[in-house]
Amino acid sequence: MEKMLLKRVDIPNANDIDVALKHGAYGALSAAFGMRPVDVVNEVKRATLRGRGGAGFPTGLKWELCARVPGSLKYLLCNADEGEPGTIKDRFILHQDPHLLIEGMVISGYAIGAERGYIYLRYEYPKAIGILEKAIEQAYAKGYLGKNILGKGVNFDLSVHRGAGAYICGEETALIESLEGKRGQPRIRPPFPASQGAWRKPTVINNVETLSNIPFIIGMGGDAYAKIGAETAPGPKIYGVSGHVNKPGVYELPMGTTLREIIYTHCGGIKGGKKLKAVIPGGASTPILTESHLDVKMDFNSLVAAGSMLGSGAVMVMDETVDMVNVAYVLVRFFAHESCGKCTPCREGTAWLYQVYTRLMHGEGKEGDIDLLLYICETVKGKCFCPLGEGAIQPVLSSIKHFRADYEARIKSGVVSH
Amino acid sequence: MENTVTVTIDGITVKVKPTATILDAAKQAGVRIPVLCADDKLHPYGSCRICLVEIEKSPRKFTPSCTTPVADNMVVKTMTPDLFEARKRILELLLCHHPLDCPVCDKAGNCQLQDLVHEYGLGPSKFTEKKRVVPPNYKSAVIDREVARCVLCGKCVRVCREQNAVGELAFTRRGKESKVSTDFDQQLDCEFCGECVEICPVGALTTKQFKYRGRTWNMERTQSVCNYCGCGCRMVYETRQGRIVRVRSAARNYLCGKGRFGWDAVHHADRLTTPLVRVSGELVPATWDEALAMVVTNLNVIKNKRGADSIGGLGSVRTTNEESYLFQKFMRSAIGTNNVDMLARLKVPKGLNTTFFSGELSNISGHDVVLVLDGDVAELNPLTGIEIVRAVNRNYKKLILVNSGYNKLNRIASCVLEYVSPDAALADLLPALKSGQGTGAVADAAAILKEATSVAVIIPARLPDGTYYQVRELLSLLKGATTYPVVKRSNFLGALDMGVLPGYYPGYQKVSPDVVSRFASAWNCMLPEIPGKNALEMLDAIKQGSIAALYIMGDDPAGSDAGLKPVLEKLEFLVVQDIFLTETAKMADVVLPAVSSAEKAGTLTSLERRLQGISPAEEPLGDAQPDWNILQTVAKKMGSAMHYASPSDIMKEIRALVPLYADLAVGSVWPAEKSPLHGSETNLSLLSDSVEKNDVITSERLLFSSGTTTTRSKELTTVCTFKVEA
Ligand SMILES: Cc1cc2nc3c(=O)[nH]c(=O)nc-3n(C[C@H](O)[C@H](O)[C@H](O)COP(=O)(O)O)c2cc1C
Ligand code: SF4
Ligand code: SF4
Ligand code: SF4
Ligand code: FES
Repeated sequence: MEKMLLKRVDIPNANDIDVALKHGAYGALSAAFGMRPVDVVNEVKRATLRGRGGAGFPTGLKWELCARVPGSLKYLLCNADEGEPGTIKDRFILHQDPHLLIEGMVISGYAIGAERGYIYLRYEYPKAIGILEKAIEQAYAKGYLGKNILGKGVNFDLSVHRGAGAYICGEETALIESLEGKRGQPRIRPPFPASQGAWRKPTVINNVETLSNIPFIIGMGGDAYAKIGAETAPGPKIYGVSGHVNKPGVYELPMGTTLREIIYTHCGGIKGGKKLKAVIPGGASTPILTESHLDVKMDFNSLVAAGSMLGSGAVMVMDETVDMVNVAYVLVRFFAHESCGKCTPCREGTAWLYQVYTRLMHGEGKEGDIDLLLYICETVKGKCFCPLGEGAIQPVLSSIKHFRADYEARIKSGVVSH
Repeated sequence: MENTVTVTIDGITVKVKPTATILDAAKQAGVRIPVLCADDKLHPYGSCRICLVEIEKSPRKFTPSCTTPVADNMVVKTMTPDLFEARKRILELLLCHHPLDCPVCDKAGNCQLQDLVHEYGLGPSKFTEKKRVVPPNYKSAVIDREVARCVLCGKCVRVCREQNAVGELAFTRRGKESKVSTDFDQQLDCEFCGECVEICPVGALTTKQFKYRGRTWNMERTQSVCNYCGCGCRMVYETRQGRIVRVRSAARNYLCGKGRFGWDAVHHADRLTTPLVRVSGELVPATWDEALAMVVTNLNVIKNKRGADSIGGLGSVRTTNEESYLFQKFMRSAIGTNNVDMLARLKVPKGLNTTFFSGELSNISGHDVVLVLDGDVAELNPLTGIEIVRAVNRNYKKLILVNSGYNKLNRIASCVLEYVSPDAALADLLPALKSGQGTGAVADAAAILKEATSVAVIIPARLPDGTYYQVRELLSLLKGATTYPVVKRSNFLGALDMGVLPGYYPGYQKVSPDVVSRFASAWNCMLPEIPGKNALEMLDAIKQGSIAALYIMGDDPAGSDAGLKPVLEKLEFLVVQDIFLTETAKMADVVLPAVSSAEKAGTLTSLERRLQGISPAEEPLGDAQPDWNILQTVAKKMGSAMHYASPSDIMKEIRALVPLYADLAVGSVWPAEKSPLHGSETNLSLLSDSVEKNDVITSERLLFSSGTTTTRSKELTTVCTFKVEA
């Protein structure tokens, strides 16, 4: 497949507007403005684009909900928090091709009737802030942002808001709270952001990659776009592969490429010719898979059928030397650290899990610890306020399910590791 | 009924508003769902997860009932074996790091966590890891934070921000490190209303005042009403062995710091416990017989020698309706003069209770817009302030604020008019409303007001006469305006209603031949026919020597204006009834010890014109007596027939003679239209350039001051002296 999303990423200085323009940036704007906003929404619906931030919500539907709410003050928020461990896809667009994102946002804003946009940027992307701000300045200077864009009467203002380093602020309602200057904690829904989001105004939140698809959908038409990749969730997908592969990196492939093809064809197989032990297919909160799952198609529905999730498409590959207790420990530590603390099950449950894992790592495992871990997971399950807590127990459950022997060995041997 | 949805909760079908939550619907169905973080005062939050329920055909196993709106034909189960287990697990999590120090916790017996753990029968926990140790924080005045007991429900944080617009408490850190804290963990520097303590479901927030003072199951409770400002908040005295140990809000209503903590003034060592008489220039203790004999003899002598009108009476804004009624009756019938008034009338707004009648406070948040003409309202009438905040934070209404300073209302106002006084603001706002002139904030305010179909107008406690006409014009320009005058003192309106006025008998019945003869026959005595002197005229008359004796019940003119001391010194005879030896009492010839509102029964009339009952929580201190009883004893000794066994006997007489109170049930508001002064140009305010009616101020904050009583509150005094360390 010819690259779309990452087309300009390899071109030197494509984050400069002149270079980007030479390679087609902002080409879809006038086509979009030639359509009625509702037709832009319909085009995206026809493309059956699903959000790339993790939840896979149909983008067209989300837009329609917001577009339908009367009132002129609406917001478009770009989720550039990219906090899920292993996830590095958005960074490539932010660093190398910010104009693709800006173009996508202008069109999206036009479609939903929002004249104000914010890019909520991960705190730990310090380089991106300068790049984005320069790109926005250039886009203003060339008239792709601001008042009366392309002389078509379309207005769209855009600025960057830097987060403060909390994973939870990638969750859309916590993102809104944080943007409003409040403590980063998810809000109750309903009201949903589409009707009452930022500053209680109708709001759409989309991931960087999601928004970057929009110019292509407008450019080629929704129907043509829908023919790319998986039937239920078409389009190009950026997979970020890390871990024990020969060529880790970011790969744009049709949605639904198999895990085997990603690891063995594109990433050159396992490093040092070792055996593959486990794969986390979509970021820290997606259940761990094993070798037996290698033929799963990497799209939303196929991964759910296989007992995991596509999440953010961050593939983490582990070879036979890896101790899965250690993996679960590291992930649990992450979630316990990032739990916002709002709800009881996540706050107390992740902390408890972390205490038990810390014991295991110190060689103080006890008979019955596996049952205890499962008991804690059961205690947390289905009761959390937001998906973070539910995601936090996935590494525990899936590692025990597939690699119970690792736990038993560790409890028996009392090995101390750090 | 239209616009309802049908929901079935545990087999009980109810029709509820579509905006209701499952929890609301369950309440309506009479089904109890346990909660920790939900509260009627606050927006739903959904943090504790104890309120989980099961919804038929839902993709989710469990659903929080406090945050989930109902849907038509929803079928909900609130108790299943799985839910029982789920809640048990949540409780187990909450106890992981809980200190379980119930034996020394002030909340025990009244703790929602303790009750739930008991109800769900938690056995030994599977949690055997190390417990977190979190130290308490006792740095602040009044309120202690037992941080380790906190279940992080967030109610204190939310009540402080949402209800109070103070935002002193907030969460800091995250995950298991989360805790409720102040800015940089400094001492509390807030309104000290204690609403956070009241709303905390556990013992994480406690008061210094109540620490180790009693177990909740050992206390007796007395319903009463706060006597510190015109709002008239309902409250409950909790007593142990006949002594008050705590005050709480009734039925989870609001109480400000004065209401909740200021009651300790009644235990102050300065309380008068015996009558005092002046002997060779010194006030010395005396028996009631001695003191009353001195009162009666002197008053009789002066009356016989110089006439009844050479005696004046100043009443109180803090005594009950029954006592105010009896006071004017005493002055009119026993003494025989209409010289009866209150200095508290000084500088109250012209138009109060003639043009400006208050709406019910709970209706403030129902208006489209709240227009506050007085930035101090939340300090003077804290509950009114809370209702204004509720309008904005809970009902998303707009607030227009006239304020030259900066306070919490500025933070939630849609529009602030920075003017030094209401008249300056109105001078610009009125033209903007009439003809669209004006720029900036004034234009914004005018635009907001023009769109509004109902406006709450908060009338300042002080309003120059000229401003009165501006406000009237303003009201005529607004759609659906309701006024809410600020009334600082608790029973000011009650005392007016009861005729502590030189020109009016109770119920604003003007001194006239008809009225006088009606009261004369009811009271079976001769009554003076010409109106008396008002409080200012009385002071002048004292200076000129035409008033020789003054009878003061529960007021301290010399304390509020030192310039009045030389005036009072001119008196031949001064009687003061009070609970403390005030500056004025120090000058008296006889001081009669009265009891506080915690030791007597009766009624008060709030700024809403709501009749409310107070009840005694303690026995009178020492030999002190309620004002009504002192008055009737003096009257009897002067030959008047007064035989009241209790305040309710007095109320019976009031109901018979005062149409406004004839069928006024306790708890109800008398209708403004029924007042003889409704819509008239009568001015119930007194104006003086020379006499001040300054508040006896406890602190630089009006919020903590309510005259002489609050200066004797230990708790309120600590608030004022407790300063954030440098
Ligand atoms: C704990 C948590 C963290 C999340 N972090 C991110 C993130 O870093 N970036 C992102 O795009 N979406 C993140 N999401 C998903 C967002 O809530 C939301 O679904 C997404 O931004 C919607 O955009 P999309 O429809 O374009 O995917 C996160 C969700 C959760 C529950
Ligand atoms: S599950 Fe609860 S504690 Fe965890 S991040 Fe979400 S809201 Fe916060
Ligand atoms: S202090 Fe009390 S009210 Fe505040 S969060 Fe903790 S438990 Fe809740
Ligand atoms: S608002 Fe007024 S009546 Fe209410 S508690 Fe405070 S002082 Fe008392
Ligand atoms: S009461 Fe519903 S989550 Fe706390």
